[in-house]
Amino acid sequence: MPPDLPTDVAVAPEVIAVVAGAPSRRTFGVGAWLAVGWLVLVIGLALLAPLLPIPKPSEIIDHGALRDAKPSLSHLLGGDDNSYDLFSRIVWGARNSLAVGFFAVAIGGTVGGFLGLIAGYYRGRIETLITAVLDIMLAFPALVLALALTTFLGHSLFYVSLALGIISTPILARITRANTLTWSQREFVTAARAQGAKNRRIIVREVLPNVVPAMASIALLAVAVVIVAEAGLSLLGAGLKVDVPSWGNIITFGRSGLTNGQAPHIVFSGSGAIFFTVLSLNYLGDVVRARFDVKEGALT
Amino acid sequence: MGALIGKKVVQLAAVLLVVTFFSFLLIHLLPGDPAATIIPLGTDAQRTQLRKDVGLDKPLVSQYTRWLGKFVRGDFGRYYRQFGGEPVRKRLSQALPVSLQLLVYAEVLALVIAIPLGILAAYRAGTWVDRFLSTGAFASLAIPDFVLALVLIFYLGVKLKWFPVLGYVHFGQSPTEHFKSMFLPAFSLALAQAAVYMRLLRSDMIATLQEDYILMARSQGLPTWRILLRHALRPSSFSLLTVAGISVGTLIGGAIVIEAIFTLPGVGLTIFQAISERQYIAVQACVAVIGCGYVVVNFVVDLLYTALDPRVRHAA
Repeated sequence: MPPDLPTDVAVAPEVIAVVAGAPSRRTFGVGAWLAVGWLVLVIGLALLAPLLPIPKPSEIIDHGALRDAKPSLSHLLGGDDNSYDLFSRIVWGARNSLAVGFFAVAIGGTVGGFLGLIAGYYRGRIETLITAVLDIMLAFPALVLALALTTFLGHSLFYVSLALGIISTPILARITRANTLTWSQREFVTAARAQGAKNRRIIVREVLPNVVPAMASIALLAVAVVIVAEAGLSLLGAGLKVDVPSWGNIITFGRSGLTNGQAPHIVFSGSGAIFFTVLSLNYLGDVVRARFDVKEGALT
Repeated sequence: MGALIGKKVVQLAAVLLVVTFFSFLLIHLLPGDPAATIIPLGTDAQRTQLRKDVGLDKPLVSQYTRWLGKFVRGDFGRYYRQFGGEPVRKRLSQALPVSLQLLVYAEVLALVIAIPLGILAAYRAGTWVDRFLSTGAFASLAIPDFVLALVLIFYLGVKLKWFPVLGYVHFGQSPTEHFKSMFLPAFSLALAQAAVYMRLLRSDMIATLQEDYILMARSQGLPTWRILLRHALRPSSFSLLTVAGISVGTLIGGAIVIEAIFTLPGVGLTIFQAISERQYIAVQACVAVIGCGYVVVNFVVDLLYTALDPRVRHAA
């Protein structure tokens, strides 16, 4: 180890920024564009899936000749264990995985955002009640809560999204509440109140627009968490129905090809799709947080 | 202090009641007649037995108190099979030690990876070493534990054959084989945790390294490793330990999937098998046990935290 301690770290502005807890990624750089690019690509493919010149996701190619086939020019990602075109599965899987991610966070954001705004703005008993409910929701390990719900309710897209929406509610509610607390004490809120604005108007017009960036940065992370959780549920047999293409199901049913060494590309395709999507969402979440200077300290 | 603990115990009891009540209610989320869903191929006699076991004919609240009474005495119901249905408790009591081992190994491994790298990143803050480690940590956070597990299974298990790809070996049977069978599962769980810990330790340590007493130690000519380990590490590791405690919960969730992938006979595998065999009573019991375990672990961590940190202790 080099002998000198970097006592000069004190002068490096970047390091000070880190120490102060301030964001280092202030600019919208190459990384952010790559992340946006990947997400646009995936979302675009997912939305256009029915129009793309690719086989149907449940179309057996060449009477089974594509079974476990390696990637090739005509079939970009090869075939899976059912001789389906894997690229088509990934694209249609994106449709379902992203739909679950979007719906779940939409549920969590609406319910959680509402609860957070009410708790943070009105304070008092209602806040105590809401935080107690949120704490109890967080008292379950998220994945266990989700798998309990889907196992007993059912495995449709709706129930899976609902289960994952329920686990993302407390996360979004907490960040909303913490930020509402801070913003509600600002001068312009007092000013609006002095002008006789009703609470409802103050919440919607004065507080909410300021809280949205914080919610957005957490929502991006939450979509990533939900996409991973969807795959986790699939691996446990508690996710979407087995015949529905989703990234989780692709990984789950590619496992045999991986452990026997014959067709690892099935698992790798599904995993890669999840990895790059999660990486992009995490990165953008960080960028939004840095951009709007969201205080994480306000979480507690 | 005493009042604070009392308040926390009351909270604990309340949360445990809600968690068990939710677990109990799960059976009633099943569509249709629960008895028919739980034993789809069973005889009428079996169904009547089940209704009696679970008390489905009674009002909800008395069903719950009955269920809770059995649950705290360790009666978790049983499997419903054509032939022989062993008590869920038997399976869980064998499974619990395996899961606990996995959690402990993963936590230790995460700390073992994170502490040296965190110190290194802080010591070399702003250099390429730091940037490399921080980027690595950021990327590791995007790798779901099960994806890492599958990649490791393929390269280290199937291709290189360094590790068994599934199964579990008792410590008593063969310690080396035991650790070999646990390494990949534990590492898969540990990596993302290590990334969290490393980033935390790094930023705390950078702050500590700017303290006057570090400058003092340096002026006394103490060797670098001694300053880092003896003077800087301890004051920097407080939030690390807190988060390490809290994240036991994250690990519990991850461990379920990891056990299912590696067929480690822990609680996760038990719940996975119960789901695929539609043993709803067993799923319910596992959910309740994991839920309560999680709540209790968080409670203990919270208490330790209160006991350790004078700021929290006196604020109360």
